[in-house]
Amino acid sequence: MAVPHHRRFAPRPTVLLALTALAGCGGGSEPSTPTAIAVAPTAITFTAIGQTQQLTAAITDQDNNPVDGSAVDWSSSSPAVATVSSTGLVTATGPGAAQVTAAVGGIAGIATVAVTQTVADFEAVGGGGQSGGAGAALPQSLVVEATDALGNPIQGLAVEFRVAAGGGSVQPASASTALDGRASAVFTLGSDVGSPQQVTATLAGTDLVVTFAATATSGFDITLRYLSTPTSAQGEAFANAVARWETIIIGDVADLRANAAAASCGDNSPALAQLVDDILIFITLEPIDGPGSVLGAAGPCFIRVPGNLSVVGRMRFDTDDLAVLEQEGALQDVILHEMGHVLGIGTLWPQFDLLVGPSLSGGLDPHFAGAGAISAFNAAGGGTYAGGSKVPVEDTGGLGTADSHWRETVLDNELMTGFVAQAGNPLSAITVRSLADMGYVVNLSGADSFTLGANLRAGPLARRWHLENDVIRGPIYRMDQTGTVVGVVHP
Amino acid sequence: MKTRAWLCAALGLSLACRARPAEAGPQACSPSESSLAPDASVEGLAGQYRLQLVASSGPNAGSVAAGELRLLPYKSASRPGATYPFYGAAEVSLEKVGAVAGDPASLDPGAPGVLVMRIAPQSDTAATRLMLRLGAEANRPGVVRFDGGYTVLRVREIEDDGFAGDWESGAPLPRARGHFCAVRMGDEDD
Repeated sequence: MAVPHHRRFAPRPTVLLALTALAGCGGGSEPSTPTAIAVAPTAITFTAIGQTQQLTAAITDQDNNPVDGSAVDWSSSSPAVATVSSTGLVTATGPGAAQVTAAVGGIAGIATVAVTQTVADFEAVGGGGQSGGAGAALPQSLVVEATDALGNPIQGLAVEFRVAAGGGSVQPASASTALDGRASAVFTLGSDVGSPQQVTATLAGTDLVVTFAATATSGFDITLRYLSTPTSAQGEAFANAVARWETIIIGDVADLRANAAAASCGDNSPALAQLVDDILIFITLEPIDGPGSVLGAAGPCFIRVPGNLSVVGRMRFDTDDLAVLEQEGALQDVILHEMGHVLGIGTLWPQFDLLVGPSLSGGLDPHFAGAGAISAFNAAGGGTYAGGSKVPVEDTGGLGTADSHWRETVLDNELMTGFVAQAGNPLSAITVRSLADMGYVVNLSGADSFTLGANLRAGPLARRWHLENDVIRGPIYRMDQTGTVVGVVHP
Repeated sequence: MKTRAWLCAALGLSLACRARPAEAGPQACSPSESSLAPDASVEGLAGQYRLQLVASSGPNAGSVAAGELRLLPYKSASRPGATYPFYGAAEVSLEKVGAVAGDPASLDPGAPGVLVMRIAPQSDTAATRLMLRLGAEANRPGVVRFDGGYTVLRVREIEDDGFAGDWESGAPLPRARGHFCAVRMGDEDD
């Protein structure tokens, strides 16, 4: 709707005098009447809301003489696009097209107005610099905003979101800026804890790009409680092991308020009445069996119901071996290995029906039946393994070694075999995926490179020895969500 | 003999113990309250012993296992902080006291059923320790396990006619404990 603005110029004294003289002469000439009006400029293009432009209207009479003092009415055909003041000042108010009209005495002049916002600024206004659980959606959406030169939001622009690093996902891949000039997307982080996680937002058809960086953290928390005092080097090795497993297990497990009497997780364990998120491990450093032979031992004491995943566990190390281990650079691997047992590797396989044909029950080819671990075993070169069923589990070494580790003769120096290798002990994707088979959410990229070696096709060897005993392991208590013990494994 | 509480406490005479090892009950081998003397000598430890293990905790608490122990001088490489002066074999039913067996009867020097370890103190305030590790596989040089079953005898007292102390066994965490007495039956040359 046109909105007229009237400006009626008051006759100036000089004009009045001239008009009086003309009338006194009685010459019979016609009075000056506006017959034409020219608006300048005739076209305006605005690139930002709020920009202004002054229009002028030149009025001429029938003799083509300028007429001054006439009243001009200014109006806009679309005030949502542009408004015009009573003096002809046009202001952009929104995108689109409009006409501004200057009218006087039945004649009118027109100027066209086009308002097309141009992006002057494209920036992140929300969701940057977040940390979140690996593999999980960030709590805040990624938000970009497009504005013109005067800071007004621009609606209807296409923004393309793309994962630039970290292997996560972003939804939607494309979005339009809303009335507030903003477009948003949800960033689900990749599973690789510690690696860069980035998403770019590109304004379609331009080279304007905004980069969002995020940090993927593990949703899985391991808490250590020392029942003996470690050296600083030992403490560092324990901390490193925690960090390593937390990059491999990344999914949170439901918190649990554990209630347990003293000595229920080793002779020296204290009473428990605390929230556990996600696993608590007691650590004892003490003499075990002298230098060499057994370096340490570990396992869960309490597991969750439902789920069967560890809640509280313990690790025990032989102080007669720690210094030598440290000197030989093996301490880190030993701690990592033992922590793996607390998490359930080799200790909870029976609870998940993943250990088939245990050797301590007379089986000749114990193996781990988890689909993920088998797939990883095949990918590591085990596709042609003909020595038995996959994944082969240790069949020698007796209680505490057999049925609780990968088979040394096949998996060689993998971290979770039962024997220390002289070289490094890689934590393979077989181990990582075995954790997934048990129900953990894992990060496959956290695994070390590992390829099955020359022992692959040798098949299971004759047992070197076995222990003629049936010493009972455990017990492992089953604890429900209220922290109440509801059962026991290995009674 | 300074303290006889661990040895034939009820009978009072060590000879009586030697004469009736098979019938010996828990009362015949009492826990030792001593600590190994800093100057304790192991020079004459080789020989044959009547070995008795009493379980004070574990699945078979209160049980007794009795048998024989033979120790021989051992020529073996040492590890940092430890020497291995003797090896040997034990004929004893460790299962009776809930301990891990692990073939303690092996006399193979490459994998002896018993290995005596003298462990140097790790600090100024600590004392030298003497330990017997049972199990041929556990004593095989160069084989090191993360976990595994073990049975060890920790010597707290050495006398002319024997030694005594505590024992512990587990697989892999400690499952059974108790005390032991080893009463000399004769020298290795006998």
